[in-house]
Amino acid sequence: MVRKSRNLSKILLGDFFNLYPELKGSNIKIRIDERNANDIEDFLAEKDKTDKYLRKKKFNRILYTMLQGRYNSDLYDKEEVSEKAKNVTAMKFKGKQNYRIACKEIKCNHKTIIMVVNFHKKSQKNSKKEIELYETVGGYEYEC
Amino acid sequence: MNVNKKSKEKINNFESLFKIENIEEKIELKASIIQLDILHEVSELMKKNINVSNKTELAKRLGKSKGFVSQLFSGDKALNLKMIAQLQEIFDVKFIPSFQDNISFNAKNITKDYYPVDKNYSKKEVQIFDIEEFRVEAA
Repeated sequence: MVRKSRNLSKILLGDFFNLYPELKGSNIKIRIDERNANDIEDFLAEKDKTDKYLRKKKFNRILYTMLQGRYNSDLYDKEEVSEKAKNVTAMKFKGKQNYRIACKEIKCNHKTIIMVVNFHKKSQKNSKKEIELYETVGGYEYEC
Repeated sequence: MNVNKKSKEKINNFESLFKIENIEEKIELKASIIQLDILHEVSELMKKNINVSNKTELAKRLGKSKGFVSQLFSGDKALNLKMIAQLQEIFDVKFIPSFQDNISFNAKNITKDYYPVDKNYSKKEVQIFDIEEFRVEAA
C-alpha cells in the first residue's frame, strides 16, 4: 500500500532559509509520513522543564546536513542494514538518550526525504528489532 | 483545556521549532553550521587519506577520545583554532578562510530555485539568421 506524506513547507522553514539563502536552491524536499506525523512532531517539539526545546539545535543541524545533500554518521546517515532496507536513512539525536528518526529517500522530481518513524535507540549496535524496523521502512512506498 | 486549544498549542509548538527567536540563537546556530561545513571538508579529506580514514584514528591524532570527535562532528562540542591547526598538520593541508559578501555569494548560489533545471531539456539546434543573408534573400 502506498503511504502518504506531507511537506515541511517552505513557510515553515522560512527562518532557516533566511539564514541560509543558498539552501533555497536545494533540490531536496523534506516530508513527514502522515500516519506518524503526530508522534514525530511531538518528539521534535518536546520541551524541558524550563520550556526550552530539547532538540531544536540538533534538529537545525540535521536539517542543514540533509538539505546540503550530505551524510554525517553523527547527524544523518544511511542505514541500509540489508537489501530490504534500501534508501533508508536515519536522523540521529545522540546524547544521554539516543533517539532516531528513520527516514526513506525517494526520487520524485527532486530527491525527497521522508521522516517515517521516531524511536528510542537503546544500544549502540542495531538490535534485531531496529534492523526489522529499517527493513519495514525500506519496504514502504510513497506517492510523490 | 479543550481539544481545539490543545491542538492549536501543539501546532504552534511545532511551528516555533523553526523560528529563530533572537540574535544569540541565530549566532549560535550559524557558528555550529560553520563547524559542520569545516568538518564536512575533514570528512572528504578522510575519504582520501589512508592513514586517517576514520574517526577513531582522527581522535588518536587529535589526542581526544572517539566520543569527543563524534560530538565535534555533530556540533555538540565546539571546534577551536588549535584543532584546525592540528588538522592542517594531520592531513598536510592548508586551511584557507575566506569571507564573501552576502550579495555575491547568494547570486552564485540561489539561482537554481528561480531557474529550475528541466531534466527533460535537451539541446536543440537553434537557427540563427545572418542579417546579411536575410537581406540578400529578401531582395
